[in-house]
Parts: sequence; C-alpha cells; structure tokens
Amino acid sequence: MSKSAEARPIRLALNIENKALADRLAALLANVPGLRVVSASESADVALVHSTAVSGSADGDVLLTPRELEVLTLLAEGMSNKAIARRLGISVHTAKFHVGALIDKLDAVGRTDAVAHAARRRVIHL
Amino acid sequence: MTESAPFTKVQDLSAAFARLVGIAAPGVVAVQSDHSRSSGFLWRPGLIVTADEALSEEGDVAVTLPGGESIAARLVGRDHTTDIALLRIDRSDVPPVRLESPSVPVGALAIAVGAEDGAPTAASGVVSRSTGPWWSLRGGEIDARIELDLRMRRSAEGGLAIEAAGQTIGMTVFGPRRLVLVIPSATIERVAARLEKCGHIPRGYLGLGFQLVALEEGGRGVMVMKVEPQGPGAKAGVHQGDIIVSWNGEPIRHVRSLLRGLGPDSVGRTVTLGLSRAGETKNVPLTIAERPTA
Repeated sequence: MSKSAEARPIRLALNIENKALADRLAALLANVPGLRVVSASESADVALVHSTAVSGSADGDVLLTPRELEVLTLLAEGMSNKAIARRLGISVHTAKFHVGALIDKLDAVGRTDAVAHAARRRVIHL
Repeated sequence: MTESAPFTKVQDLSAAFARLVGIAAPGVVAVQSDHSRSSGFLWRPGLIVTADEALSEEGDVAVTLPGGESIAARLVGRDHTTDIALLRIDRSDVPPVRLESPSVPVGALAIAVGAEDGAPTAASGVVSRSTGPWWSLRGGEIDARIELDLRMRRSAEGGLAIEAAGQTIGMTVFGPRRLVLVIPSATIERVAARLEKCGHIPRGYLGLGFQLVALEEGGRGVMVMKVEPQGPGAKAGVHQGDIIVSWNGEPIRHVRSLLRGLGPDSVGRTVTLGLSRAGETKNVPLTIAERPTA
C-alpha cells in the first residue's frame, strides 16, 4: 500500500435509523483524526450499523429450512429425538437425520447462539 | 548407541499403548439395541453407562461382557441433554471403571476404548480442544468441552477416553460431523447418579411460550407469546404480551439465559421475574415446576 493511500482518511458511513443516536455519533466522531463521516450519498470504506441489525443479517448465512428451524426450536426445548419425531409426525430415524444435519450446519458456520436464532422466528415453550 | 535403540523406544511406546487399552478394556462392554451397536462401561457394580444417542428408542437391550458372554440389560434412565444413558445388568462380578478428571491439555495423547462382540477396540489421537463448561444444544450442562482428534468406529461410541497415564477422561460420543467429543467424568457422575435415583433428569418448566423481540427503547427482550393454562406462569399471574426483563434481578436479553435457569435443580425453586407490562415494570414470584415429559 502506498503512503498516500494510508494517509487518506477512512470514510465512515452511519447507517443508523435512530436520528438522535446517529447525530450523537456524528458529533463524537467529527474531530477524530484520519476519519471522515460521510453523508448517505457518498461511498464509504466502513459503516456503523445497529448491533441488532448485525445479528439480524448474520442469521442469513445459516440458511436453515423451515423444518430445521422447527427442529431447532424443539431441540432447545430439550426434546428427545423420539419426542421430536412424535411432534412432527415423522419417524425417529428421520428426526435423528434432521438433528444431525442441523448440528453439522450450525457447527460449520460457528453458530453458538442457535437457540436465539430459533427464538427470533418461532415461539419457544419453556 | 546401537542401531536398534530408536526402535526399542518405539516398541516401548507401542507396548505402553497396548497396556493402556488393556487397563481400560475389562470394564468396557458392547451394547446392542434395535439396529444399533455401541459401547458402554461399568460405572458401578451392575450399572452400565452408555451413549444415549446411540441407544435405540425402543426394544430390548443386551450387553456383551469382555470375553463374549451376552446378557440382557434393562434401561434405568436416559438423559438426551448430556447424552448419558444408564443400564442395569444382573451381574455384579464385572469390576467398575474408575472415573477420574485428569487435566487434559490440548495436544495430550488420548485413546478411545470401545468393545465389539466381547473384544476391545481402540483408536488413538490427541486432545484437539480442551476448554471449560458448555451447554449442549438440548440444554444439558457439560462440565468441560473436550474434543479428540481421532477417527473412531461407530461401535465405540459410549466407550472410554483415557489419557497417557491410564486415567479415564470420560465417555466418547459423536458430535457434529463425527467429531469425537468426551462427556467428562464429572458430568457422568452427576447425571448417572441422578438417573440411578429417579430414572430421569428433571427439567424446569415455566409453562410460557417466548419469542425474542426488539424493544422500543433499543436492545432485545423476551416476550411472552403464550401462557399455558394452569401452568407455573399462569399461576404467577404472567400475561400474554408481558416482556421478561429480569430473572432474580439479573437482566434477561436472551432466551438462552432463561434456559440456563431451568436446569435439573431449578424444579420447586421460586424465582422473581421482572416483567415489563404496558411500559411499567413489576416483579412477580414464580415457582418453577417440572416439565411434563413430552
């Protein structure tokens, strides 16, 4: 990387719906050296977003099928494969298969809060 | 130094491996249930611990003792949250395994000992991960996360994981993508003792249905979407639409925090729920019941 590129200020966009919060952040960041808060129409290097928005979009990479989501909710409720099978009207073998596929999938994307993921979309009975 | 010296050392190592398996094997049995073959081990006289996941949901269970004798076994209890099942056999002459909790640093040698038709099976590798307590997806509390980098045959699931000094680390089970996990000795002692006593692991029950919601004032909360009639939540005066904001004074932002409060020891306990209702916060005492078996 050339020296001039390093010297160029980092362009920061504030993609925050809450106007008051966005204004406060803009005021705080206005005088930070090497950083420039850009307007919505300009291109940016990085963006600040709501923390809830980040976890929301991160859900996208799990890509669970509706059935898997259903199984995940039942798993979180502590159900056995047999109980899941009975609830969904499928065989224990099929339930086991779904559970295995789900665990593999979650592990592959490093999801540790899978339960929260399920609870955002479905009612969990505790 | 003679030419053969390095080979002698390799032979010593090989003999040590075989000896380790030999120490564990007398307590390891083969477990047969409907369409499934796994392993188990003598936990206490006449009581066998095995992997719940590998045990069929129905049908007869038999175990093959070291040496080849096959006998019937009865299910005492099973806990799918920690993957532990307990079986009873009418024999008290098979010596129980001594469960220990040695420290197992990452990279330490580990051997998995299983059994098939009365003969031991073995696999070796290293401890590939060793961290603190974790919760299984089904909500079971497991005392340590120990993963082994070894390829284990299906039938060895439910057998023993031992370390280089011959101490038992715990029971081997399969995790995601056939990764070998160890259910540590401490978890086995705790859960198996409970299974022996009452046949199952109780789970706390609120009788409420929850969903995560984004709060007006920012952040997230857990909203009550359903109240089971006559359930603990209904009795405590919780209503549909209430948002649970705290549990015994601790803020609640995740369903997970609720799950953690509903472990085996929670049944019968009274907790104070902080509810946000129509913009106002109120505290209500709720007595946790036992979750009905599904």
